[in-house]
Amino acid sequence: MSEAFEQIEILLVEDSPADAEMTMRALRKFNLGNRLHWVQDGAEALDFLRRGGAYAGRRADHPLRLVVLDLKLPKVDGIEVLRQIKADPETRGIPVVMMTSSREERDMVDSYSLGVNSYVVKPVDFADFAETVSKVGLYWMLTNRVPE
Amino acid sequence: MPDLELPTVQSPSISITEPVHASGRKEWWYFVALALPLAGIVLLGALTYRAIDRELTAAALSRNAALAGLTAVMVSEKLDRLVDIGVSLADRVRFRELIAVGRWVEASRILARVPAEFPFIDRVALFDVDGTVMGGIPDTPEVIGRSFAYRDWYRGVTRAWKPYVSEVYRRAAAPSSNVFGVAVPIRSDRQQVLGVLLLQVRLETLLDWTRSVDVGDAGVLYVVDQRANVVFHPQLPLQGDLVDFSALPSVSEALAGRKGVREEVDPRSGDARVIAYQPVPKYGWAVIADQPARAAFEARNDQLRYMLIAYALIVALFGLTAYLASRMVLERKQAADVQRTNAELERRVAERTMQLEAAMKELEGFSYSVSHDLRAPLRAINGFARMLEEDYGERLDHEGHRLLGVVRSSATQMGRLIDDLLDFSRVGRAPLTPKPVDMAALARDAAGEAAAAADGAAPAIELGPLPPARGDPALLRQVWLNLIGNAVKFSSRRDAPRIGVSGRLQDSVAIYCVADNGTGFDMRYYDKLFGVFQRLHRQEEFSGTGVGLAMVQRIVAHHGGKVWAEGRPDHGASFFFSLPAKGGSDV
Repeated sequence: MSEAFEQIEILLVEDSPADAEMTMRALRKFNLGNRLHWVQDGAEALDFLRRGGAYAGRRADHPLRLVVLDLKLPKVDGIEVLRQIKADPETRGIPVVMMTSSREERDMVDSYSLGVNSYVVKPVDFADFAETVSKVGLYWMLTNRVPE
Repeated sequence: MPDLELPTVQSPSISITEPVHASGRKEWWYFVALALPLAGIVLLGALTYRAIDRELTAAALSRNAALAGLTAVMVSEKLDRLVDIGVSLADRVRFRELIAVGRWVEASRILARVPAEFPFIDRVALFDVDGTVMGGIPDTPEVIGRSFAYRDWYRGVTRAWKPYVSEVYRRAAAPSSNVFGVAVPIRSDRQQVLGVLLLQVRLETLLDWTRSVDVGDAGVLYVVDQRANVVFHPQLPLQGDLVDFSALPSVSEALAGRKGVREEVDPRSGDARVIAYQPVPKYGWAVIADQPARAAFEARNDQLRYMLIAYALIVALFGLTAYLASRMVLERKQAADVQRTNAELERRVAERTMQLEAAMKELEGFSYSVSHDLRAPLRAINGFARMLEEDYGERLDHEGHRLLGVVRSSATQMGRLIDDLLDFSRVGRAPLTPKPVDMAALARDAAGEAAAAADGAAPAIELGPLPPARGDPALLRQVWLNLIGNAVKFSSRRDAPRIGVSGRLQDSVAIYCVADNGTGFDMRYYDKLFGVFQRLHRQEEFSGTGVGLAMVQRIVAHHGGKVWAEGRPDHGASFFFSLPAKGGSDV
């Protein structure tokens, strides 16, 4: 199973299967969906990032290139996951895009103060949604070079 | 005393009963503290009053006693002098020689000038040792040879052959009058008694002597003899029947040789009297000073009355001071109570504010959930409908596409409703930071945006001069956008849509107006105009969520202004809003 994670470049943390499916569909249109791993709660996301729990065998020499994080998550919420990613020297360099349905300002302020790389409000309209997701994915995957 | 109630507190829910009881207990001690010195003053006053009363009474009584004593001494001295006169007359050598040889008439002549020299001496009479009249000046031949041994003066002088002052008696010689006698024995060189020389003294004389003694208002001073017969009394006739005063206890006391003062009730008039009595020791007479108690104690009563008035004034002064002091204390306490009540109210306000803030937080949490949780399924509905259309669109007929379209547009509409509702709730939650706002520029900007979004023909928007305002530019821009946007929307069906934006200053209020010639509204539904989600037109006619005007009202109210409107179906509508022009809102 550990072999399967070698190619993973994007971690999608999303508790809503519908949103996850729409996100993956949008990314797939730009061929970004294949190397994506989807987890449904914050605790699993942290396990994946730290190679703990079920992800103990994941290799360390192949870093993630993007984390797409929902704000409201079961167990450990998005803000906490973001805080831990940015607090850990090993994961600090991974770009994190916060995607949320919340338009509340305080979430945005919290996220930026923790060093989020993008903050995106999910539009209700699917066409807008797909466009937003793919733009964000393309920007961070293709145009932005992470220091290796 | 002022009412002890606390200042009125309207709300019965505010418990202030405990402090009232506490202060009630304090008041009890307060009044005890006041009553103690007052009782002390009254007690001291009563004691002093009694002491002074006693002293003044004693002073009044002793004054009368002193008068009686003084008079007694005076009477005694006068009688001494009479006796001296008698002794010196009886001691003349030639006079005694004549008596010794029985030449009474010649002896009498030696005394011829005595009544002239001593006017108070009515008559001088000479008696032999047996009490028989032997001669006299003036000469009274009708009594010569008569014995007067029965007289008191005779019994008195013969008792030890010493000078004697007699009782009052009516003399025998004409004209008869009331006199008293001073009897002196006449002795030879060898001390043998030869006869008796008698001076008859007029009672008027004593009256003259005592006239100088003032017994005070309505008082009388009188003298009684050994038998309690009145020697003289200023209110009784000197001549006439003798008056016996032996029935008076003070008279009999004095005749028994005792002096004193007593208060007696006159059995005839019923008046209380002060009677001082004093014996005239050597002669067995007595002096009585008799004064009505009312007069005797007049000075005392006056003084006591003044003292009572002074006491009353002191007590009244104390009472007034105590009253004023208690007023001050109570007022201060009431002020403290008011303060305490205010503090309590403030505490409650703070408590309520906290509860309200908590409720607001909950509401915020709720709108956050609405924002987050309601949008997610909407997005799914919309997204999956879109996916269905993309992936299976070829297999759907026209009706299938239409149905999917309704699903998607409904989801989109609901998303917009939620967004507007959240925007609406956000206005008023955020504190205002008012600054000067160029309303003309904001309106122009909003008009441009609204015109660009117009479905139909571009409307003619006339912008008049607008007074500046103070407020939040972003929120006021929203007001213009909503009002002008509405005007554009509801006039879009006109052939020549016209929109006028104007403003004016009235007093210290800036009033703005957006008027259109559009579809207007019925004033019967005016009360629904500014309600949230209230719409006066069907969705097919004019789309919208019904939040726009509610938002306008909320923003303007937040700035301290008002919103109102006028309209008629098919004759356009005018929307007004006012903002405080000067100084702006500090909300």
